[in-house]
Amino acid sequence: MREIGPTLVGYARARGVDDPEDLMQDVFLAAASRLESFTGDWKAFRSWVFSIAYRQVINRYRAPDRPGALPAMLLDGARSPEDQVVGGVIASEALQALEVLTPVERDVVLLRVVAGLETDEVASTVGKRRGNVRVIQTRALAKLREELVRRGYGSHPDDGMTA
Amino acid sequence: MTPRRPDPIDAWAAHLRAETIPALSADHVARIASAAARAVGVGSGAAAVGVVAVAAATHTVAKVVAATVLATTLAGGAAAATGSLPDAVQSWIADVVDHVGIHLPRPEVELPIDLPLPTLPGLDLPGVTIPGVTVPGITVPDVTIPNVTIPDVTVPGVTVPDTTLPDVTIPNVTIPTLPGNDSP
Repeated sequence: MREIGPTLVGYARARGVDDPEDLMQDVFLAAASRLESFTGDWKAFRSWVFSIAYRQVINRYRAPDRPGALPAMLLDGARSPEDQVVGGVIASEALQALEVLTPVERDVVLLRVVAGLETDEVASTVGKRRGNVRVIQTRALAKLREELVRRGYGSHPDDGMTA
Repeated sequence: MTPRRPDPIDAWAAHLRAETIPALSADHVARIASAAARAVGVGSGAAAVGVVAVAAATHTVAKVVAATVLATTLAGGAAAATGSLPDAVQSWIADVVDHVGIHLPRPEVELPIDLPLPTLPGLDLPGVTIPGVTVPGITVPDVTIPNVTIPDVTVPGVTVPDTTLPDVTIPNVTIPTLPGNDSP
């Protein structure tokens, strides 16, 4: 849990959860209460914990007035820039780049990049086949790369970059 | 030959990780995990901790907690587990833990059956701390189970109906006069 905790918070924060540590507590509690039903190795355990986090994130953004497509900090356009600075909620360029992705693409990318899960772990976490996750990941990275280049993050896709 | 330019994804990923993954201390995470475990251990009483109680109130959790409390804390657990408690208490404990899926030995029933005690004494079980377990990659924190008090249990009275004995005829008894006891 000590190793998973920070990446859980990171995933929740990148996913736009208002209180990432609160989500971590909920995930730990859910994991503790179901621990006896879990069998598997470390990788399976990590996937299992993140699948709990994934479902909790989905549930938190299921309300009709919360589209769930964007992190909350990106949706908070009604606040003044001063308020946003004071509240520390200005989305960084790194987070803003996620705007080009669909929710499922964002989850796949964040679980890979922030949580550090492998493709099969991501597949297990989001409940999709590994091949499907690979397709989503490839498409998402291409879109992200395009967006990052547009924002001046780095080179053009044709320059031989690897995913 | 033009040198290969870095993938913007790499730089972006590094920035994103640095920005979102907090520098949480291991102790801080462990405290949160421990609090979650305690909330689970409290069971339905976890309402005080708000939303976390929802998950804690599952049947599975109640089963684990009840089993742990009864089988682990009662006289160190060993007495009930080995059937060395007094019969009435052992039966009662076995009945209770049966409901949560733990089967303890029961005392043998002998005939004739003695009437049970009218009142079974209550139990005041002390709290216990189950030490955490650490295996590579997984740390289960200490779990503290609070005191459990079981009130006295009173068995309803048993009424034995009137018993009619068959007629008994007692023959006349003649007591002989003993020498020296004649009336004056």
